[in-house]
Amino acid sequence: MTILDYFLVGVAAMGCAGLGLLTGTKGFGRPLLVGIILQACLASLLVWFLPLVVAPLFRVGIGIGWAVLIIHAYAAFSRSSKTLGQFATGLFREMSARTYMQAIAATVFTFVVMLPIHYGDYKFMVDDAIYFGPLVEIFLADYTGGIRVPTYYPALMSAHQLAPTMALAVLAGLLPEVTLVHAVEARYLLMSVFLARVLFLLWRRSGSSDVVFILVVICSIFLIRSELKTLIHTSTYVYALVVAELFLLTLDRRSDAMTFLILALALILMRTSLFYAGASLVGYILLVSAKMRTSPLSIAMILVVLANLVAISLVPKPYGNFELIDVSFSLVNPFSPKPSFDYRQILRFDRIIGQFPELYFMTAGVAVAAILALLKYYYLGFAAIRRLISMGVIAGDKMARRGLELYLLIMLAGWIVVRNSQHGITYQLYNPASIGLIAAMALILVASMRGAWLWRSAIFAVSGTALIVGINIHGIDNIDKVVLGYKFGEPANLSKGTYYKNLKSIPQSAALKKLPNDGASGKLGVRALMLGHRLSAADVSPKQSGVWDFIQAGTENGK
Amino acid sequence: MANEHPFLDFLNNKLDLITAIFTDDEKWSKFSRRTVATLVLFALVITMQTSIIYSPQILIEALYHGRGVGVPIVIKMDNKKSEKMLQRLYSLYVLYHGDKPVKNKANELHLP
Repeated sequence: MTILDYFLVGVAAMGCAGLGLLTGTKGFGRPLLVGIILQACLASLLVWFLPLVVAPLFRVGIGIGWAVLIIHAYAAFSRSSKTLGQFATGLFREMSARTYMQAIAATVFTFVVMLPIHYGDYKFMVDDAIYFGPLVEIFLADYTGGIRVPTYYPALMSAHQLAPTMALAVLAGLLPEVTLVHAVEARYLLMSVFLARVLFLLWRRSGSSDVVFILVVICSIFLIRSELKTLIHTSTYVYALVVAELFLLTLDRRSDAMTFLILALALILMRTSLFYAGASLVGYILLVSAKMRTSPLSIAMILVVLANLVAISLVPKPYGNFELIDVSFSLVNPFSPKPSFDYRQILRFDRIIGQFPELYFMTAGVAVAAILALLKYYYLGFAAIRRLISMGVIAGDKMARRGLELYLLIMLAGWIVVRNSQHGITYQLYNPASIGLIAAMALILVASMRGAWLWRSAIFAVSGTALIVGINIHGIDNIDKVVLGYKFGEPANLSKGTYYKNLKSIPQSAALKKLPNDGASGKLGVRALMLGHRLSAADVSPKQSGVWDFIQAGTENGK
Repeated sequence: MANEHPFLDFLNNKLDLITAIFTDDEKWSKFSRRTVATLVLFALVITMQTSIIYSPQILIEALYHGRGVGVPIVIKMDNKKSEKMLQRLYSLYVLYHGDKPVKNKANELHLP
């Protein structure tokens, strides 16, 4: 990544924000997310049929966005009756020094917290070949017809697989050469900027001193580290942003039904295994807002999402043996002889209980996991939201507030009742993780209010206990492992991944051949993507392009 | 005019009734409370059921008498963690059954 690359990502982001303004969304951050979602929805559909046109369409979309931005700026300028100099500096003069301080501190903090997914420090995993393979391919495609890259089709439900990837592809749309490194860096920038925005908006609403807010934020992020990691390291990163935005929507005095609808539709597409939550929210919005039922934009958006879902069943299946993998979706039968509650991940999520792995094998572990999840995510989140409403901090209209409550309720129901047959509850673990994100944001806000000493001391006490328990078990030397989850200077396990500096240390021609210490077969595919080569190129055989044991048969789409 | 589309009127009335659940504060709180109560009850049932399946007794039977339907694969023989767990289960087995040799059930018909 050069300085020019960062600049071009910024230009693309501005274009996306301009495009988002077309839907009537106000501000800057929210139109940016909406613009990215709009383009990602269209692109994830087109990739199945015409990957050739996706990259040019991104550039057209970004161009339209810039035109909209310029028109908006000119209209505001001609209304304002200021001189050009006053208008240009007006935005910066309005904000106080404290606001600047908050914005800069929040940005620096999140950029540091997110460093493990920065391309220099990130371990490029074998799975990334699947997540980001289509992204590199659309910039190299020189053929008509469906995309020729293994897309993990039946196992992970491809619509969700492609939509988050395409959200990053929009940001990388103007770069001269797109590689896996650029894609990962675009994800780092996207996540950091949006989490900085979340922290900044919460900070502005906090009623107590800055020191208290910073301490509460650090403790909360320490407590939900595993959930955040689960959301960010898989293809759920855009989903996490949409969930965060749903919460921020309720803080605004006048909420916007169209933005709410677009976010709900994004919930369907960004993780199809949780489609029911987004679909219920869409139904709710159409039920209570008569305007949305007849708006051409909302009808078009709903059709695009439907087409995305239908397209999966129309495209040729990439794998010969796909019928072995069951993608069905079912409700729990409490009288079935199979275990219905995979509790171990919930126990691992927790900072205190996660330190006692013997609980995983105890019968009581199931009950502890169920109680923990119900209390920690659902009850705590709901209580904090209730408190915020009674304090008048969540000042949004009833539609957004009730929508948030409904979302929490459906996610709870989904976690308990819904199972995907191939991975069991694995996908339904995103429910507690996403509710955990909402609960953490609500808790940060509640605990930083004036006089909320009970909430505040509870957060400090729990995180302090977690720290003490962790240090007791791992020893004081491993304090970085307890707090951050990894140890500085520890030799990394490279069997399933590689680092950017490892790639740089070997010559390019050697990097594109199988190395003796390549454990998992996908490592060659990952290196090819990092160098900007396509997966289906001659020097990376289909067998080398995917996860071991998974891509065995002929893989190219339609063959 | 009102009777011109009786079905649409009927549908609209039903939709209004559903909308009232969300827009009326009292109805919403009643609805959400009942939903949560049902879900918690459901969670209790499946927690009990899962904990029975994961209970040491069932796992021991699975280990020594062949795996039955619904017994989770938590023990992999090539895994270090599983080895520890196996030892723990064996001590539990001794606790339950005494230090007796395992009865060979290989002659009985059972599904793997």
